[in-house]
Amino acid sequence: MRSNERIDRLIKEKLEHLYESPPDYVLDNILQNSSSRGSSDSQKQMDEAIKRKLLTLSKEPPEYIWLHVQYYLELLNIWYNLKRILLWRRIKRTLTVIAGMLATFLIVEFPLNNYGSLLSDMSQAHRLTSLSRNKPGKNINTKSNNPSESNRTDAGEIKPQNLFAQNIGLPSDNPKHYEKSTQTDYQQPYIWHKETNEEQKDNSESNIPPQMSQLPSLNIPIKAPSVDMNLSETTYTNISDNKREIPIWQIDMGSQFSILFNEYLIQSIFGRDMILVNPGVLSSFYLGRIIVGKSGVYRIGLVYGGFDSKVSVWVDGRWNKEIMESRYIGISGSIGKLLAVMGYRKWVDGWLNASAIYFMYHVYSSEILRTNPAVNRFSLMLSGEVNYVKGLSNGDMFLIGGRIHALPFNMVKQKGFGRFVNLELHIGMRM
Amino acid sequence: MSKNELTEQELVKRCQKGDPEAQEALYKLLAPKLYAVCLTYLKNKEDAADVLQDAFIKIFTKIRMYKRDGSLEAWARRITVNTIIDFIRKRRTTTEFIEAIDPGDVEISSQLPGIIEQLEAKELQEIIQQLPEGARVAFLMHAVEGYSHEEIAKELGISVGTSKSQVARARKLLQQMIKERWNAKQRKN
Repeated sequence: MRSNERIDRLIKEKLEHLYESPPDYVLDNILQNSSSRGSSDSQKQMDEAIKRKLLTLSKEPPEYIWLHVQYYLELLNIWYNLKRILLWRRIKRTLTVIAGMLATFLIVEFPLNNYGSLLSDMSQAHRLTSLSRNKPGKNINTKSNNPSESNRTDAGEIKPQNLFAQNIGLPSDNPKHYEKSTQTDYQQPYIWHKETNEEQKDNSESNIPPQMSQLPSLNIPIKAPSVDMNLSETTYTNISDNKREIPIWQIDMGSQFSILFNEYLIQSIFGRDMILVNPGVLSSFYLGRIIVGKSGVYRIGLVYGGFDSKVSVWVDGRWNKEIMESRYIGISGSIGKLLAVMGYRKWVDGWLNASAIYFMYHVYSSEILRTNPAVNRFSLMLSGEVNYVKGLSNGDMFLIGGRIHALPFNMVKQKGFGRFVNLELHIGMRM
Repeated sequence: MSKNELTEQELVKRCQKGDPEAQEALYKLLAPKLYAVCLTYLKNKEDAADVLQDAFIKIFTKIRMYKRDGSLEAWARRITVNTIIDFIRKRRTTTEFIEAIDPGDVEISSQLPGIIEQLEAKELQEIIQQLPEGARVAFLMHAVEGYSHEEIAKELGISVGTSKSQVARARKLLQQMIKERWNAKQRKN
């Protein structure tokens, strides 16, 4: 019995040793590994199962959603079209500016006669048509009605082209005035030779300003500018009484294209030595006053300027550039416009007078104008208002409006700048 | 190339040219699936409709950018999910993203995928819709759309830890709800 008990105890001890628990970390490791692997896999399986199910889901949305989407798409289309139109307009505008600049460049860089004979022919035809409507000799004043014999036909009538030239104060086809007297008008650049004092005296005899009725009429609607500032009837009467009747032309230069057109027009009608004043700013109006007031009549050709270019002068059949950088004019004019729009009328006057003086200083101190005889010989091309005509003592005056339409039309009316509106007349003509 | 792919390509081409008929056809093709996506994420029908509308406007305005190198549906789905995320981000004040400690992996019963397979998609959608919004969105982004936790955190403006905890929470709740739904179904049968 004792031996049996002993054997049992030994077996138990052995067995207890056999079932002894392993260290804790062993079990932890086993459990963690199996748990995490199993868990991760089952999570993936679960996610995949859910994904598969959800991807098959489909439900018809309410009908109004498509209507709303359609509505927004329509709006978007309108917006895109609008953007496209605006872009196209911008492109067109840019192209127009480029074309204008190119045309200006051609005008400036090449002699006028290079542009072909079509325009010249047109203008010649136009001129003759215009002249044929006039009654030669009817209203010609005594002095101007006394042309040289060579200007008359055998029947004693004034030759049309000479009448025209006389009307505008040009020395017509007098060979003395040109080095190339055989050239046809407007097809070759004119080259002035310096006249002696005697010649100038002679010319001054035949250079009397014409009467209004003698001027060739343009075959386009003509409106008289209704400018009333400081231009009283008395002023006119006085001018008339003194036989110094002054034809005034007002031509709105408008865009670059109309500048070119007007330039041709003026060149064609009046001859070679026109000066176009077109700084495109209000200061140009005051420039006119300064010219007239300070120096009397200058028979200047064309002063050409603009915000994007330099002021150039057309003298002796070609452009003389870079008298003055136009940014001065542009800036001064812009400030002037701003002041005008804001209603500071007096300031506008003061400012523009100051800028005009500054401008004139540059123009007149330029070598080309000081030394060129043409400056003192030609009809004044004046960009200005009629009220500044009163200082004019002799010669023809041509008013060429600048690009004043930059001033909003309504604003012009509201602020009482009605006189500016006159400048929008495309071509005006009055005594 | 199958006939359907060709049709889809033609549809895309015409939509890219702004053809209204093609736009309508594309809408009809994709709208039901995308609406379901919106409903799963947002639960509320009105919100889902609003988001679907915005998503389609984006799809039509951006269709020129679709490069046809992947499925059109997947591309449209991505736009829709992004629109949903934008929507959720905007009304963040009402969206619940509980900052919680990452609970680690959740024990998922090996039977669960099988149970899910036997459920109907609509049933599963209903179960998912019952999840709290934060957990639902994070889980769907992670499990269905394949976003990483970093991406979810970035998109929703939450921390990576929050994203993990939201996904884990969603899984735990889903398992529980799916089992309950399954048991109820079994009892009925």
